[in-house]
Amino acid sequence: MSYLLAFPILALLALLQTSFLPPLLPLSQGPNLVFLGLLSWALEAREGPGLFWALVGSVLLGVLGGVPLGLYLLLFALLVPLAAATRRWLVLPTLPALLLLGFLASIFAEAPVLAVMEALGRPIDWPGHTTLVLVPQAVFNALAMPLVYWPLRWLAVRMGAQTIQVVA
Amino acid sequence: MRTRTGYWVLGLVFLGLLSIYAQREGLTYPLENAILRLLAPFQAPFSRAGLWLNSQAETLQNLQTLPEERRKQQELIQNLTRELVRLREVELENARLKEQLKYRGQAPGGEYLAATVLAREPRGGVQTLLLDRGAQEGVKVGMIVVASGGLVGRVTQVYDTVAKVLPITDPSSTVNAMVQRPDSRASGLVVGQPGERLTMKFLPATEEVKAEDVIITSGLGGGFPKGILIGKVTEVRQRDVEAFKEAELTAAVPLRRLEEVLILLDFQPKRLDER
Repeated sequence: MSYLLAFPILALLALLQTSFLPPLLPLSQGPNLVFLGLLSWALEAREGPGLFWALVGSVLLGVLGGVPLGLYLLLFALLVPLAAATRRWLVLPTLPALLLLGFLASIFAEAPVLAVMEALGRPIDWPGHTTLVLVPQAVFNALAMPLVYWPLRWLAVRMGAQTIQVVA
Repeated sequence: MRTRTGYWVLGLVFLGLLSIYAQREGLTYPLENAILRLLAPFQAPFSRAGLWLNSQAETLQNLQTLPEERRKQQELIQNLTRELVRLREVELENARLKEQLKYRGQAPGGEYLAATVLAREPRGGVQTLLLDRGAQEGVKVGMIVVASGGLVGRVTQVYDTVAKVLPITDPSSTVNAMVQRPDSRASGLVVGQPGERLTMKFLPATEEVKAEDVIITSGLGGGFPKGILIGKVTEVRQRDVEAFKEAELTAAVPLRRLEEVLILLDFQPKRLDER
């Protein structure tokens, strides 16, 4: 079930990210909801489904955006087990923890992509990209992280997909 | 369990490397095409909903300034109508003179295809617009995209029903441009910057360029037709020791709220190796 949900949920997040949100945001950047979705699932589900979500998410980001198709997959293949390893600290995730996680994960996800794109020959102006792309995206991702994480956590609990059960 | 995760990670890394190679060779086209075909019918309603919400918010914000705005718009319409009449006369005169001189200009004939912007994605330092027109409607790589009289960018990838556009604000985009003023035709290169900004580089230090100057495509290099509006100068920077100056521009077309665009069908960009 966890595998079957990957495409509809991540496709919905992709539609919100690329079609619905851009006219509403005050900056040219916005949250990477697909990334936050698969990150949230990696925090809640087992590594296998988490990595399958990473596969679907990276294909969607590659198809809808301008980065090479497999680039996000390489990154997410390494990030998802890392996220899964941190899940013990988020058994009872608080709002500040989610905001911090969204911010840091965004920087760790997007900065290597920019570095690879530069290696592939794209002009990357690091000071400009840091202040106008990386940091605004990280702030948007931090703000959106609870909005993506809580519904997906609720879904994971309903489906029994969680690896760690919260005992009241 | 750890071994299984290890296999997953290794498998995905292999798949990632394979798909980077496969995309370069064009082997992933059927997969990309299928996903874009699947998503396209949903993208238009999502995009319209976002634009509608944005317009409602703007209407609420502008409610107080509405009468003043209306008066200004009416003045503008009157001025533009007068300008239109004058330009029609100039156009007729221009056509007569060209006919007499047997002049063959490079301005595009004007066969356009209207398209809707389905998605915008600025991830990984690459800005992308997705349009709802593709190979089935005759769209080809390299075609020019304009909106509201201003340059948007050029088509970089074409699928059956959609096309990807590289906007001029992308840092890898360069457009040969010139100042449109009777006493200055200074030319330079308009380069995209992070954060949807534009900079005009390589402006000769001896040429006068000032704020509010209108910048248009120069047609040099054959990548874009001559005379398409790019934007306006907001600031000029010059150091005494440098032979060139730079100008910051405001794009004529705000990309974030772009809804409809036109694809220029009858302009084929020239490749350097063709000349």
